[in-house]
Amino acid sequence: MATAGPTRIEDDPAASRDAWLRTRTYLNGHRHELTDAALRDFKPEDFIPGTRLLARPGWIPDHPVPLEDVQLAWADEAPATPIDGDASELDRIRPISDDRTRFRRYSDAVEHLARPRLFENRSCYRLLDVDGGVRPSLTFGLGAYFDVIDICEAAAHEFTAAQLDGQAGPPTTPFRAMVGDPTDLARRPVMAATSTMVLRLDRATGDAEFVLHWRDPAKVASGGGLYQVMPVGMFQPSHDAAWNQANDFDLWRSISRELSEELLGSTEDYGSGIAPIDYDAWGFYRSLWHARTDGRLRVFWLGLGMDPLTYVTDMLTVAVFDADLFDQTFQRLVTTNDEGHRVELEDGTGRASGIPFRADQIMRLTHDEPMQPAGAALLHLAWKHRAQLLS
Amino acid sequence: MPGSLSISVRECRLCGTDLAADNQSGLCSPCQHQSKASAAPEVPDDFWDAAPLRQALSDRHMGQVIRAYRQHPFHRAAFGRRGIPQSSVGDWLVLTQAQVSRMESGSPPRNLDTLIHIARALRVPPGLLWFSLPQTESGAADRPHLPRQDQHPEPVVQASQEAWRSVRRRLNAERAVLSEAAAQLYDPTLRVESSALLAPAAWLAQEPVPLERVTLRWDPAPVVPILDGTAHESLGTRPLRLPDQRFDRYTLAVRYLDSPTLFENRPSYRLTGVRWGGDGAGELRFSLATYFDKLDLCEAIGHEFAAATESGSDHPRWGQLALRRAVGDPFDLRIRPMIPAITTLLLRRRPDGEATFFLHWRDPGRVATAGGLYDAIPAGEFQPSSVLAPPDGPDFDLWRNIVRELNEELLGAPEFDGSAGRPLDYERWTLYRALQRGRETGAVRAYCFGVGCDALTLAATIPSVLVIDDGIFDELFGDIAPQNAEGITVAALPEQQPATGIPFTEQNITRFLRNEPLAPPGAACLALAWKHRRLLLAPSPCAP
Repeated sequence: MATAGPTRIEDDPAASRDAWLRTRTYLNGHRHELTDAALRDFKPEDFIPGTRLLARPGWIPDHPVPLEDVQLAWADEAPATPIDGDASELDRIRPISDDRTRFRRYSDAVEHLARPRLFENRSCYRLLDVDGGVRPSLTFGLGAYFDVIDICEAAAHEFTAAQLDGQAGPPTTPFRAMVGDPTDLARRPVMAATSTMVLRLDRATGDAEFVLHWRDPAKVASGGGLYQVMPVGMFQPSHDAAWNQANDFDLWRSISRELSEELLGSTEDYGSGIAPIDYDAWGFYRSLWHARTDGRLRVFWLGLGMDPLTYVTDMLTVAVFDADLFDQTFQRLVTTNDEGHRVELEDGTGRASGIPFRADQIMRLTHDEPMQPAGAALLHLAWKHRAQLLS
Repeated sequence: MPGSLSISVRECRLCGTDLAADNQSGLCSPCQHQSKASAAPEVPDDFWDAAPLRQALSDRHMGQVIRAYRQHPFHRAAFGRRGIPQSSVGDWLVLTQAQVSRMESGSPPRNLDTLIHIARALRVPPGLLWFSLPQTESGAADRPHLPRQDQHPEPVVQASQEAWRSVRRRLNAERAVLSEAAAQLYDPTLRVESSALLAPAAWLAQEPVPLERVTLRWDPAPVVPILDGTAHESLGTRPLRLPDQRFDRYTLAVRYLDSPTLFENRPSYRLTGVRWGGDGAGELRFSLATYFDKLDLCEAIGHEFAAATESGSDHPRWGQLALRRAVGDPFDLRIRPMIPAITTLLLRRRPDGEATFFLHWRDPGRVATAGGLYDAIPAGEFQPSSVLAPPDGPDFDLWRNIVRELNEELLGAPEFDGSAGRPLDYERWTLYRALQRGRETGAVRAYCFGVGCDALTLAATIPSVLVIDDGIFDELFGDIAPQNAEGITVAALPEQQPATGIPFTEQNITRFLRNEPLAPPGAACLALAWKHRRLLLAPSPCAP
């Protein structure tokens, strides 16, 4: 169709891509402020008390649950959902490629216009059901990582674009309106990350400190520019080869891999493209397993929740290391990694490995600093339950 | 109807001794003697069927419930023909005989805390009450179901409580010395004029701010504190109440093991924001909490410090102070409920520009905090005058709170302390109107210095100063009460009347700051007032 007048921006590929990039850049630079604005779309009772994380009743246990008491169930058939990343509601935020077609999915746009260093569609465990209680049970099926980009990042992008246009509310964010209640696990495919707060407990003094990470927006696809606990990783098989699916379907195995990769900078290649990981033969895993059995390492489940801006889902866990075990395990604790750098608090002693687990630090990070809502919620809940975690 | 009572207990309920056949009280004589002194006895179920009790309960008049309870025929066996004296009931309720008398003959007490306290102390069956008793986790500990005893039968409990009492005594006896030692844990630049009151620079105004330029704002949605008196870090400051259980809160231990005369929980204002501008004005933000929220944490922090110094070291290290360490930053208003008192130095200004000041002495046996010390007068918690008044209404005002404390502490008048049934009508109150007129003419001036925390307890205070010209002072406070119900005596030099005050001279200031046990808030007020004396004692603009 020939047009006589000036080209409208939405028909101009270069202009549409510039607009998309501007929004994307703004999103990555202002996640904390945008989250503040996104809070207003929810009722106070939708949040875990004292946090900015959304949760359904029963998702957060009254007390920390030892991780070994959390049951995982597998569903072969993961049902289709009414919402996916193809929704036409997302058209208005889809940039136009040179052939004048719109990028079909948000991940396509990210891949071509703003590709981060780590960007790979891999299979993930998809969360299907949560049964809370004293012994929580989680049901998973198989899903794909790019659903997180196509739905969660797209929803955040849509929200950002509306904010930049000076608009707010459901009419300006039709995709978010269609998603509706983000905690409804049947409406969209929900992948979950495990966020683990690593505490180093000095039993002699009773003092504890925790590991904190700064996510570099230049290095990660989502959650850049924010503080976060460490390690955090998608709950997913170590490799797409089918034999990993059952072998890696275990929260502790997943957390162990993340501890090794993020805190020690070890490789993400476990050779599981050739054969499943033999966890019992892996020294790091074995020594942590021994520490868990003799109580020098205790791991707890604190529940799960969703980010109000991105709808990203985080399972909240705490790993409490006795100081000796921590020092021995993490002698070569990384300072920077592929996603950002570890935050140290200079206390004049030259040996700080983390942030003191103290009321003022918790208050500062949960209220004054840009911290990812899941990490902040984890800090808040860990502090609330510190008597049990540190006993 | 004494004949209808049937008692089946044949052993003393407390020590298990066999009882004499005619003993109807359920307690052996030694235990009876002890329980008479400390707590209400157990009564049979049909005790509550007596007509006068039923009437008082259906009238919802707790004062008359107390009277009917005291005069119940059941008590004649143990207490004689006239029943239980008001003073004994007062001991159980931690009230004076006069307060019990007023409660019995006056209008019904309405403060829910008071009602709950009395109902529990007298063990009124919950089903007969017109209000419900809180069913909290700490309910079991809160209820004085056992008569308070000097010695718990379990040796381990006994030892724990004795050790706690000993530390508590030391805390009360040596607050000034302990505050000074605790101040050394912190950056010396935090000390307000070298006192043991600590404040960051942002909490202090550059110059005293006239009270009318301090704006109070109500904070409708304050951050929920993440540290309170139930924190596990305070376990070490709470004694055992049973062999396997500690008191749930510090105030519960105080109530049962070391109760001062006045020890009542009341609504209190919680500070949530401090801002002093460069323009000589300021803003304080508040929400509401309770007095015990403050004591549960602050007294425990002080207790922990006193315990750490007992082991020989005068200067405990942070390592021994788990609770203080958990607080981290004592000036973060969100971490813990910060519930400030208002401490006001009173200056009586003579026409020649000279002045005198007033201090009081706090009897450690009668006040909950800061006993055994000199402090500025008036000093008191910042609280609504009545539970029925809206917390952000007329009581939400520093000046009005100061006047209420003046009335109580200098004139010995009853306290408008939050237990009254009716909100206070300030405009119809003569003293208030007179002082208000004085402020308008400049003969009465009030200033705020800022906010600070006592290094020992980390309890917050708003130090302030009140300057009253001689003439109006004489008119209003000529008859200073030498002692009031809080165990407070106005200090005077040997040859002078209390109303004259102590000459505001460098020599006297130095004497109190250096040589006398002076509470840190009072010390800060005195030092700050001396520093700013020219501004404070300048001739009033409208004075004749």
